[in-house]
Amino acid sequence: MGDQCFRVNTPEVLYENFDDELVAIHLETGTYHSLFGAAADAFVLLAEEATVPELAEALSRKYAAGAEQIAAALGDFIAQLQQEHLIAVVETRKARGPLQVPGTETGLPFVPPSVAAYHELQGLFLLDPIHEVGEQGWPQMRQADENDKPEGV
Amino acid sequence: MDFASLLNEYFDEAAEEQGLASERIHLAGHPIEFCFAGDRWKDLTRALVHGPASFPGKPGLRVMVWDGEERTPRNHVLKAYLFAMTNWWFDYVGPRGQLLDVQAHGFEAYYVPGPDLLYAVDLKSNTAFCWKRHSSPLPDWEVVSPFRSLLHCWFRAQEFQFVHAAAVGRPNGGLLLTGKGGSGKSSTALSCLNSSLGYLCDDFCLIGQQNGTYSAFGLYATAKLVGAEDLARFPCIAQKVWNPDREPGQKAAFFLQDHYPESFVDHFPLKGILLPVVTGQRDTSVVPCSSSRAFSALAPSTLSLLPASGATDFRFLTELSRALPAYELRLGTDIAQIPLVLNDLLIAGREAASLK
Repeated sequence: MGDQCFRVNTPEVLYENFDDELVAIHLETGTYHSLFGAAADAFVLLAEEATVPELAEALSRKYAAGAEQIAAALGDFIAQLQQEHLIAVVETRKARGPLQVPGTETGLPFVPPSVAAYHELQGLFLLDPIHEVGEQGWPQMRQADENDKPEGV
Repeated sequence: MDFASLLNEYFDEAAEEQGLASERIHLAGHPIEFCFAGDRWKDLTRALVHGPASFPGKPGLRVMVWDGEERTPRNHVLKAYLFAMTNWWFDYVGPRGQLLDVQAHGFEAYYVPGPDLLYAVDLKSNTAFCWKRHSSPLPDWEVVSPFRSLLHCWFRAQEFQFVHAAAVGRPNGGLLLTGKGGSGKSSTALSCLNSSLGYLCDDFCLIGQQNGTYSAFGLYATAKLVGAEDLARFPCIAQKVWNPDREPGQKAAFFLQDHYPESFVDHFPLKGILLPVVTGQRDTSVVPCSSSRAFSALAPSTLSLLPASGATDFRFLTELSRALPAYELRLGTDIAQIPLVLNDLLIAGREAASLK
């Protein structure tokens, strides 16, 4: 993983970095995600394309942890982002300057990054949005039935 | 001949045979003409907010509505395409229902397999199409909020954003209520009927932005409630349910403008975003919350319910969430308190603004 370079999986993934939270939405899986602190910063850096050592080095300038400790914590995080299809491996790297972590703070407590994934809207995002409403008050996927069989126009 | 022209021709053939009916409605200040081949689908406009009845001249958008029950298109290419697409739709549509072979710049088309609905919008000619393969009844959700996909596409081109939210207020200021189903949006909106606050919508509205001010515009004059408990909380409204014979678990729907025309407000500038939370306590209160929470409540559900949604919608919702103050609305069981608390919030906001 150390040599691999990753990027945010645009244009399928859209994200916004608010002051306290980064919210990302994957338009093709219908999943949305919430990231805080170092996770949000790492995600913003991944938009620039980065390897794990590059991320760790950049994050160590903001958080009170060494690059090695951060790199170790990033492994699971990167795997989680890949599993959620939020990032992709970069085949051919583009030229860019040094990574700049958002904000000017330094020495912040380092919390191992993680991503919270919310899958409850997937059935609506993706075909088919034939939803009837369940007791929980949210549209539900209809089960395929006899009416779905092909027939003439 | 392009796909829009083929659909237009097909509609004309159907209208020639079954008769043409039309209705003109203003939505968010835009004159829209709904044209029907025959009278089977004429009632679909009942769910839309009805303001001034008619307007002179050319409409901003012309929506053609018909079905394929009686006739197939004369054009063999369109006939073959519709036959193949509706029978083997999984080969013809993308993950969100987009018709892969006919999507083009300025032309968006979507298919909904269950009710066999095809929606298409041609932005170049400001024409939209709603074609149903059969005359079978539409699902309740489609009757209560019809033409969603095509209105979303067209209004986005007019710089109005379709939003999944309820809204209540007065002509000089109102509040957006957002959150997933069951959070209390509808109950909050319905609690404002017959109060000092007007009702704009319970599920979807349009939002426009001018000179930094965001305004909500009514779209559907309907409301939905989840179950018997909700209905019991609103006994007056419960008597007016449109679908008394619904399946278990289906929402009860109401055509509110038929019963509460005086409670409707057609637009207002937005003063805040509220995230209702059912507490089980007696009293209702509001506490400030973050923009990111408002965005998380607003954006994913809005994007999920609009198959044509994408980066433009995302950006609008981001800016909206950043621009307006956000509050958690802690809903109490004393329903009469809810409009009073919202009213106080609007007054407090106005006084704060006048002090600046």
